[in-house]
Amino acid sequence: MGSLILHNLKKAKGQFLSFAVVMLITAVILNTALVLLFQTGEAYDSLFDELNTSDFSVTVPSLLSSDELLHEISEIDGVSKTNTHEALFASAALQDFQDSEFTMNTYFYRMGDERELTKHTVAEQTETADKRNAYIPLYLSELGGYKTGESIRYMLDGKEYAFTVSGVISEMQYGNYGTGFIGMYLSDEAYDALKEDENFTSVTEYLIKAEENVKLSEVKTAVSRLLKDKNVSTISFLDRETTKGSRTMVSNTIVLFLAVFALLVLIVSIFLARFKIKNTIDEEINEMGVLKGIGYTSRMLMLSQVVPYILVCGIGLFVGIALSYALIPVVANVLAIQSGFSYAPVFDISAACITIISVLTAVFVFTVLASKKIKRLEPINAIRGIDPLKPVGRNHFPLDTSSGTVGFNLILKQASVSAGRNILLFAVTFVMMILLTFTGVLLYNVNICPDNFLTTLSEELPDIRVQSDGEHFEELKTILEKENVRAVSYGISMVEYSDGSIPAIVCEDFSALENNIAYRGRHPETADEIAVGNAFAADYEIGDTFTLTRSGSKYTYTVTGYIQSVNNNGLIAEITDEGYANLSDIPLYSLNLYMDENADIPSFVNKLDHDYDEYTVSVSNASKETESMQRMYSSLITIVATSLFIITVLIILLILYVILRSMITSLKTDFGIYKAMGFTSRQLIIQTVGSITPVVLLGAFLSSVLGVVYLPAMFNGIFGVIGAIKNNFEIPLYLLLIMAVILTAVNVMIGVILCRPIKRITAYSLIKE
Amino acid sequence: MEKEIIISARHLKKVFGSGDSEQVVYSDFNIDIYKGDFTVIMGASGAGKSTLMYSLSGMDTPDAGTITFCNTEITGMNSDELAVFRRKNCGFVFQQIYLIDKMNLLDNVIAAGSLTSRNNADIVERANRLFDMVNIPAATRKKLPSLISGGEAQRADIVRAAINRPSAIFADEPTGALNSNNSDAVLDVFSMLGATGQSIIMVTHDKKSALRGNRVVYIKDGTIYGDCDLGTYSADDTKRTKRLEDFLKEMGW
Repeated sequence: MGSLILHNLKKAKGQFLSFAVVMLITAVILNTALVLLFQTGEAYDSLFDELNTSDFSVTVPSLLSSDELLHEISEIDGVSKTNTHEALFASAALQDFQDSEFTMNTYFYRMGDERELTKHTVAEQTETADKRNAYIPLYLSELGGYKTGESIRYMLDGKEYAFTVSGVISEMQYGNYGTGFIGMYLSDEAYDALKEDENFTSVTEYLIKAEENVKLSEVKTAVSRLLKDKNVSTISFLDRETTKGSRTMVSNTIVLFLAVFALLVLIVSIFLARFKIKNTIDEEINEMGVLKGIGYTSRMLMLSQVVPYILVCGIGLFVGIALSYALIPVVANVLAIQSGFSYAPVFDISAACITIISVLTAVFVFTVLASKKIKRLEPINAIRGIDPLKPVGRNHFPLDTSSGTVGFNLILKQASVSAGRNILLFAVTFVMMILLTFTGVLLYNVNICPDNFLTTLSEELPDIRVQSDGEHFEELKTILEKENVRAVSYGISMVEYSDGSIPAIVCEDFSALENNIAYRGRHPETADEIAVGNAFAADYEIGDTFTLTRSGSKYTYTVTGYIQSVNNNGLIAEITDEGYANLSDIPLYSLNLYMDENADIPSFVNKLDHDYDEYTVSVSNASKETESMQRMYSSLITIVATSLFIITVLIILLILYVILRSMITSLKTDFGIYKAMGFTSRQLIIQTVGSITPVVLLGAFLSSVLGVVYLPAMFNGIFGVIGAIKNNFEIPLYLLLIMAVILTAVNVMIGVILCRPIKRITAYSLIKE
Repeated sequence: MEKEIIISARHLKKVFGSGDSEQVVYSDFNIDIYKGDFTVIMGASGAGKSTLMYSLSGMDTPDAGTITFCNTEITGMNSDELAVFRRKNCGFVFQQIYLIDKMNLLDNVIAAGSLTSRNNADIVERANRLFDMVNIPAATRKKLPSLISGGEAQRADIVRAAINRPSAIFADEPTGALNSNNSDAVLDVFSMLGATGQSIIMVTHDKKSALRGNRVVYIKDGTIYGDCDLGTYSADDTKRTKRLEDFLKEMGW
């Protein structure tokens, strides 16, 4: 039995090696996805606990009675510990962020302050001569490109604020901009200088740790109610789930991306093993008849076919899992750029077990099913090469009557010989095409039409953001109208709802915006209407009421639809200017400006800063932020998509190798006959490659055309996980068709290379054998 | 009138294996094959009959020596050049049935015919003429090789070998796997082809098959041990059998 298994392994060692490599790739991708899935969240929680991070943090403008408020919060049932941090808040334009400008809501803390809750650790630091130095989060260091010892600059109200980066810190609350807020940690000198500056608002951050057994949502509601009762308006109110969600968003997307990829590769591998076993039974039917004749049971023969696959699959999986640990830290580091926290992944026994058990089970089940045919072989029939279940062949494309040349019809004849091979080729091409079109379309929407990607993941993307004041707002609008710049009143204000605090987008006319996505229902149009983020979709139907509170004013709106928001985990709302007037007497006085496509945005920003300085409080070039975001996502997605593209081509190569080697083996006699007739190796290579091309072409084109249907579903499924329920991706048919042509061409080229062993088959070998 | 030489082999050497297992089949072999002859190659098992035939036809390459086929030296050609050469000049009939099993008989013949002509109608017409000659009915021509008898398959094989009007047809024990009736039918086809002036080189162990040739070459110890002229074949010529038997007896058969 053992020798039979060994014999089968040796006989097709090249093809088993290919299968092992495909299994290895599957294991590398699947194990990487699982380890990241299991450990990223866990690492976040672990670091969260290690730094004693608060479960909630509420940041409010500094009050005289902060001690009293802290005391009242600590009295709430379920609150185990409270603490406050003093900070300065500003929405400041960070300069040189990836060589661009990025306006961020930033909390500036004093680095030297004692912290009991929400501590931070210094990941990297350097001695600087400048006493106005700052510690920055890993996110700014990795993504923004600020290195220790270098300068970091902000612009606010036309004034520059520069610090020297003296270190990089790791913290779990404001460590990336996914929540819409980021933290900076300043030296005493730097902090004191800002404290005197009127551009910065003094704020107090209340940190709340809940008892272990209480429901966080109940404590959060109680805190929220207290703040409402005391008419305290909040700048931010974050809980651990929101923060975690925003920091692991990209990681979750990539993990899902990898898992889908691994699943598709596994499906292809199973098809491959099934094809190879069926093919082997057809080719070695006489040998199996002899073995049955001398006493081998069907079970033994089936095992001799299945066990090599299980062995090879097992080895591929073990090696793949081992190799994945070289890849995982690299991927984790790439993800750390966005998440703003890094961790060292460790060996994960659960991930390894799931990878091994799921893949081995799938391969075992399908190989056993494929080898069941052995049971039905009668020894004497098998010895005579008779398979009673095999239908008598047909003479497809008769050469005397079919139109076209004989050469062309010989190709079609060979193409029509094996239904099993054609099904496998079709399935492989179809699935590979899914992977190629998915990565290709993603690359297209990230690099060629980056707006599609950005508008899916971001909120409104104006060209310029302007903050004015009550005195000059209307005049500024008139000026902008004269300048032929489209201005839309648009701002964000923190408001409270029954369960906490959320940002509310306030806009005079949502239909005038360019990228506000209401994925169901519609945007608000009247003072009584509200649209809410996807996080509220489960609890609030369209037509339900939704109550907001701000600084003691309370108003109940009617939900008109659900809006998309990736950065806030779907915890967001939007109301009209009139709707906001129900909560506050003071409008936001902020504008989004939209310019013509070829307009010189930096010049106009400059003009606003200098010529209309008196009408504006702050002006920021939002298009630069867009560019920064595009660069950030573009590099990340390009790395992942290109890697997957290369892996896909490698898998195609390996699968074609198995298919073509099987074909060459089973057609060896035919090739000898053709050569005896006078066919050249070149003719036979063309005939063989030509015979697989129609199926490849059909699979590729069908898959690419159907891509128009399945790709939106795939993108919705994957990006929906991070809140992008509706995406703006373009799926150009011409691009899909070009990829189908490329895939077919790659198949042909690889096929020609892999068919070279035909050259070694001689007519004389027919007789010698 | 002097006969025209179609194949001329000089100083052929063929060795199998190397070192201790080296087996010299022939080391300085010379032979001429004449146009229009039905040459039969005989000899004991292992004498190198098939090896010689496949060397002469360009299916196998000798280790040394030259072969000139239709005034073309084929010993220096690479495998693709030999394949192109074989299209026009050689037809093969093997002991085993080597028809492509996914094609019916007609298509097997057309596939070979297409290598020398692009005129499909002409190929089909020639194929049908040859099928008529070997007595394969029209319905059988449309059958797959797995659905016909061994004799029919071998006759179809001869049709395929003859479709391109080759300079020579090479047959390696063509009746070796057939019963007596089928053997006779196949040999009749060879005789008919021989009568049309088709050069045939046939390797056989079978005396009955050898009788069909007009020249019998006996190979022994790597050389031509005997060469017998039987004259033109006639089924009624009883002396012919005696001549062959005497020759073979002389050869130690």
